[in-house]
Amino acid sequence: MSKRHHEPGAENSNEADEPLIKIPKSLSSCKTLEALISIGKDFPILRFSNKIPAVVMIHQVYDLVPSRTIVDREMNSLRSNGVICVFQLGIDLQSRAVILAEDMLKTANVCYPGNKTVAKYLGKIIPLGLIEIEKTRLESIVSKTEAKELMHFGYLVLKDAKTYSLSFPNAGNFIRAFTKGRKTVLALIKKGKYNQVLERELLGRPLEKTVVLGTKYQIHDVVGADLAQSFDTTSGRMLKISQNGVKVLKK
Amino acid sequence: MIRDLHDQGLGLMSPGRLRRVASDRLAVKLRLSRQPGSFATTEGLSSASTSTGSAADLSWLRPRRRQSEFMTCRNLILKFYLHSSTVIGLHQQFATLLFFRAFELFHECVCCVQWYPGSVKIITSSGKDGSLRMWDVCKRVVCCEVKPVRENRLTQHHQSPASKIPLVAVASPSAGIPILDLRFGKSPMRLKNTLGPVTYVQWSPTDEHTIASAAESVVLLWDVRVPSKPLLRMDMSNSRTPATTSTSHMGLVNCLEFSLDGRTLISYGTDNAIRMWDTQSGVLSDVNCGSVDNYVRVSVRMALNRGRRMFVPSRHHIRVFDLDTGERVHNLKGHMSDVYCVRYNPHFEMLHSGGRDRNIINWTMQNYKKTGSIGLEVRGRPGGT
Repeated sequence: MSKRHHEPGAENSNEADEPLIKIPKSLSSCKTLEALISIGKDFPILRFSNKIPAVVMIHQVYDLVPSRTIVDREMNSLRSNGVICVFQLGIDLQSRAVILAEDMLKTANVCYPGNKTVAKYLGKIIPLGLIEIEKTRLESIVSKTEAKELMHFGYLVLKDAKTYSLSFPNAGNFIRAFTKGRKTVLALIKKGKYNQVLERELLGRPLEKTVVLGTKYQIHDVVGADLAQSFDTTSGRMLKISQNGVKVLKK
Repeated sequence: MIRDLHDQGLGLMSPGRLRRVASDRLAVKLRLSRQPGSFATTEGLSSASTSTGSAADLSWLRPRRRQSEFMTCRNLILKFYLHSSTVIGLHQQFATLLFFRAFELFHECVCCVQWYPGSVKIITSSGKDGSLRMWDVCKRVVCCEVKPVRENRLTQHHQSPASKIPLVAVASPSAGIPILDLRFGKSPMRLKNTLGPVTYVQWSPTDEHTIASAAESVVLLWDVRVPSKPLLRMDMSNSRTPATTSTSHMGLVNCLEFSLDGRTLISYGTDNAIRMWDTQSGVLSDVNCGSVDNYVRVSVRMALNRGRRMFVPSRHHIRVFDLDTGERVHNLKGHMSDVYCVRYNPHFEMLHSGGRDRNIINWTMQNYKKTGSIGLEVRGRPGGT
């Protein structure tokens, strides 16, 4: 398994040797982590000028790893070991975004280099492993001005009067690109004969303008969220739209 | 699977475990039964009132001698005989539906039917007219009629299989769950604070005091000896102190089922989720069954086999899941409309299902073989009015 911070030639980069992202031995052959890294490789970081880290939705991993229970369990252990950060985005209540901790650090260095508030957020609040944090608890860790600064940067989003939900900067751009790409892919699947299309045919189409995040990335999303069913044929994988996918298109 | 085969080969498998493992293996081999007479339809029956004619509930009886019976209901209760015979030379059994006889009730619509545990003659039924009736099946006569809830219909009832006293819990849209004692026809207690109209109740198969209730989107576990307050409130976010607004599902809870050892409670809701709860602590287990299509707003019934398989009705299909991993192992297609109830018959390793298409289907393993000159004799009388 190729772990980014163990790649040969990366010995000079000390960024990868942060204690926060040490992967314990028990997770060294973790299928979920491999799936997260492989989906993250397809994420077009350059299109967002390195300002958004490689975001992977949990349900995308369900497409690669057959057992959902194993994925959930491994996600919980990765989260408790601080290897990944999980965020609740506003797309739909059940979907959660996962970012590798080292990617969060890299993006923070690009967007807000040397900022102490951001460093405090990444060092103290993220390791708690929460999706949302109450105002009182937050104020015991950071001051009010720092909280306002974090909100301005995009690391905190006001959920209701007493709670903040944790987030990452430029999450809005990601959500916009994600929902648009999802609808485009679903519409193309629905347009096919019998509401189905071969995966390789979909990957062959030039969709970079509308599907910003990449067709392969969106296919993982659509299949993992049960918006489309996938089955194997002699010509490769076939994607067929499901009832839930039709509902998403109608919205 | 490999470990099971290995242990079986070495003789390390206990009889109970062998039974569970064999049952799980057979669960994947279930197919639409091709036996003549194993498919029954309720279409030809007369209906006294406005009813959809769908098979709303099934209940099977333990076999005595060679017969096993189960019943279905809509505004009628129908009795089906399941005949099994062992043909000389073969050690496998097959079952065919022989004939049925119907007797009318005076319910507007029967929602739930259950055999009296341990009896072959009495059934209890509840319906939209708000009454719970006990029937003598042989004489087709009502033994006892009770109206546990004033001016309200009953959605479902369940009699405790573990209790020595005949206690029946009744679910209705009014708040509170009356627990009836069938000996006296009265309800000595009522479970309060059910948090809304109750859609489903289920007694634990092992513990005579434990009962689970589903009210809209909240699942509660009760000890019958303390009717004022539930023991546990199932919270899907697994917080230690569930808030007053915490729910078990994000939609209506259709079905509750205890595992055979009574330690896991499985709930199924219209948010397309199957959730498994530990009955001791109320913690949601991390088994993820994926999204299971469920838009039916009435109570449905799922079934569990003697091993680790779960049969869940979903739209026109019956999905078979593994209880430990949540993996979907099989998919039974045969119904032409929504499936409302599924019952597992462990004695014949068969599945019975009924649905909105007015059909009752048997699902069996097609693994019997003819040997030499001994043919399979199939007896069947066509069902009719």
